[in-house]
Amino acid sequence: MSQNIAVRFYEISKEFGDTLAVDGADFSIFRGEFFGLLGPNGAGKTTLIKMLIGLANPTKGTAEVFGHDIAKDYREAHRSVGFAPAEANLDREFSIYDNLIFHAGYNGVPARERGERAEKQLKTFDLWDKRDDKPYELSTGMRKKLLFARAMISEPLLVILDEPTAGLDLETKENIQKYISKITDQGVTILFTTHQIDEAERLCDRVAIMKQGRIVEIGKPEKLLEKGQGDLVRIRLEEKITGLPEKLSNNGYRAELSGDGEEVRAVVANGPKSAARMMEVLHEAGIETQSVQVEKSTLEDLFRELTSTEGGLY
Amino acid sequence: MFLSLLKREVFRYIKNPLVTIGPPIVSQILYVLVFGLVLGTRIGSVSGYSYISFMFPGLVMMALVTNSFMNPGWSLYQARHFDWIEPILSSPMSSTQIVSAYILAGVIRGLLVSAILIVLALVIPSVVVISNPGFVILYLIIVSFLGSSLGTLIGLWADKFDHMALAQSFGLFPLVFLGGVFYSIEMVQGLTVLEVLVRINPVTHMINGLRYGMIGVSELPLSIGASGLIALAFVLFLLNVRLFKIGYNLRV
Repeated sequence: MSQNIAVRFYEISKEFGDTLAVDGADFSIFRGEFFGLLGPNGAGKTTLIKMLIGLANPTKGTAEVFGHDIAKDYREAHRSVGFAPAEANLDREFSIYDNLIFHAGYNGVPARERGERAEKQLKTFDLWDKRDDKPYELSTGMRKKLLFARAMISEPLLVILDEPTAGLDLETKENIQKYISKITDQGVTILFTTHQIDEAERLCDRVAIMKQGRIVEIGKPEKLLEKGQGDLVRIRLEEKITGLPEKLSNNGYRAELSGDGEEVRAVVANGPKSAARMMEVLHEAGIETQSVQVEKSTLEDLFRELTSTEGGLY
Repeated sequence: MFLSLLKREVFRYIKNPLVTIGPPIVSQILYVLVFGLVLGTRIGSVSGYSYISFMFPGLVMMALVTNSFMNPGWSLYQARHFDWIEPILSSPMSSTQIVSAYILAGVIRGLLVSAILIVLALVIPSVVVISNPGFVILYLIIVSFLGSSLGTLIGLWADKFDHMALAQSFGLFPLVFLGGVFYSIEMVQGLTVLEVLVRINPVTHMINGLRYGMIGVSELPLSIGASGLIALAFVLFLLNVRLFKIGYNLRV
């Protein structure tokens, strides 16, 4: 395995009875990369992550974390991973400070460093004043922050975040996003799952889109957008028309006229450039235009396109 | 790593002594007072000792087995039920380390309760007799290890709260009460079914061993009892490690 690779999945699959939760995932995540795993509920994202950290046994295939096989060499594989799950799995019997101290101990942090690290993490996430509280006394947002602090306490090289910002208020979400970006800058590899596509588009170096257990797309967000359906161009006309110039309807644009005959719409690869060309064609045909609008294609559009099934989205 | 989990499991009951350590001490002291001092005077002597001195090793063993069993059983069940086992499973700890921490914490709780019970009983004259301290310590360790290993197994198996209660009510308590806490084997001779149940019961051998260490009386072969209990404890330990390795009721 290349030194540059943090995680490598080898045709990994997981079956639950007749259900194939993960179907032959085979891809790599590079060191220092911010990698997003996107997909609708039940796509297999969490199962894929659980196999990586020893909470699910693969049915077929395997994976490596920094070159360590997750089954044969699981202790080394786990040593470099910090995990913040979507659902709080905090120890209800102990204070949040003790939660961090014990977690640091489970992960081999030397005893003399545990207190200092726990304090640092709790202060980073504004939880220091709550250090004597039990986890169930915290709000949802605070529990999320505590999970994140716990994942970071062993100073892992790979941080896995399962829906880290779901259910958080805007301010907390932005704080966590800033912190995530900050640690990525320090060379930490991040694998995270999210339903918030705008978040993935903004933060991730690369994303993979999962559907029914399979990786259906993988790549840089901007590259994936090129594979998508494209930008939507809407040109408002001065007067109602009954038909489109042939150049627009057949010449690669496949433009359509709206029902009231006053708007031309087309989905195109390069919105601004195509819009200008379409305007020219309309002017050449003697059709006056009132306004033009280009709606950029987003990762969310691609996500919807790839994960939609018969009968509707998702 | 292992020490952190052990510390967590020990702190779990140390920080709450009134709930964890207190109740078994109180109940065993009540047994001493009611069965030993009140009813015991009417029973007379057993194997040449006062009834209370004869019964006391059984009470210690009862507290030891119950506490060493319950600690890892409930703790592991709760850890699974509330998912806080997950950070432990995804840590670099090996299955052997995790199982050892759970079992050792149960051993410590069992020994702690037994030690407090013995010290408290010393206040009452002629209750505690220790003729062979080495034997007492050996049996306390073997039995707490065995009880704790069994508790770990049940904690892994139990899928709901009822399963834990079921294991205690239909497994542990009948074994303890049929193990000769309150009577000698001589007393059940002739009661065929009961005698067989008492003789094949591992708890009878536990109590017999401790009774020998305390009052010097043994009704069963000690070498067979001790080696059988050690073998059983070892098998249960290995079984727990194996089940952790394959992720039985732990991983999906």
